[in-house]
Amino acid sequence: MTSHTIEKSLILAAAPANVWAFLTDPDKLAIWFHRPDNALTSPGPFSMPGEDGEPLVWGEVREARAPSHLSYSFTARPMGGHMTEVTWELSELEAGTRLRLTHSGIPAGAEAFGLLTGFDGGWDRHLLSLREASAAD
Amino acid sequence: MVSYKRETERFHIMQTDPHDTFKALADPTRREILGLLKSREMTIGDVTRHFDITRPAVKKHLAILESGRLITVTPRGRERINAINPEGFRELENWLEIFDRFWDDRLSALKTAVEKDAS
Repeated sequence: MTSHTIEKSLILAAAPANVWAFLTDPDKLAIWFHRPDNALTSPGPFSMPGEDGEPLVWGEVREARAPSHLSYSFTARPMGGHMTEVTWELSELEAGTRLRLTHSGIPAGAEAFGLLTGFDGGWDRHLLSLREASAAD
Repeated sequence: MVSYKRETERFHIMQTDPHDTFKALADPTRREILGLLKSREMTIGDVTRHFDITRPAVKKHLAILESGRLITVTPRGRERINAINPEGFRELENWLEIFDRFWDDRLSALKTAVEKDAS
């Protein structure tokens, strides 16, 4: 399967330890992302429930080296359990932190669309029809 | 849980918030509703007849689908007509772009939260 990687870089006006807390602490993750069921500070599985209480985002922490490196596998409900990899790297700057995000293993093209639509029996056929209908517009 | 209300309003002007689209697709009932709407437009009552859930529950599902731009809701007389929005599905096809925008959005929220906390 072809896959893509997204890379992002961000300068934050806060020390790496503060940024680290926002990447790992459930209360702080809840502010900008979703609240996990446990802190992402040691290897092991994690889950972030949706409003219905069922897992919305989940994965497994691979490596957590405070306050400079955090990596975990990552999937979300609409991704049908397809696992991708997320890595955060933090480096100290004079007045803050450079934060790098790498999200790899993202399926590309038609395979991605099939993945998105194929996680529920029969649903892919609905979407195929919709694609044909929209292409005819 | 993060409140996406402000962001949702912004994205309605600019583009679809991928979180809204993910959220809309994440629920099997909503996917089933989309399957029904594929064949024809429906009122809330029409949709409700296909499920063992209340009309307010169906209305809520439809509102989420509208937020994800997967359907359009158009007033017709006293009724509100729900229909598939092909444009929303077209945007879904670019999976990579969805993730790209998703992270831009989340990183912006992270920056705001971190810097507010540090100040």
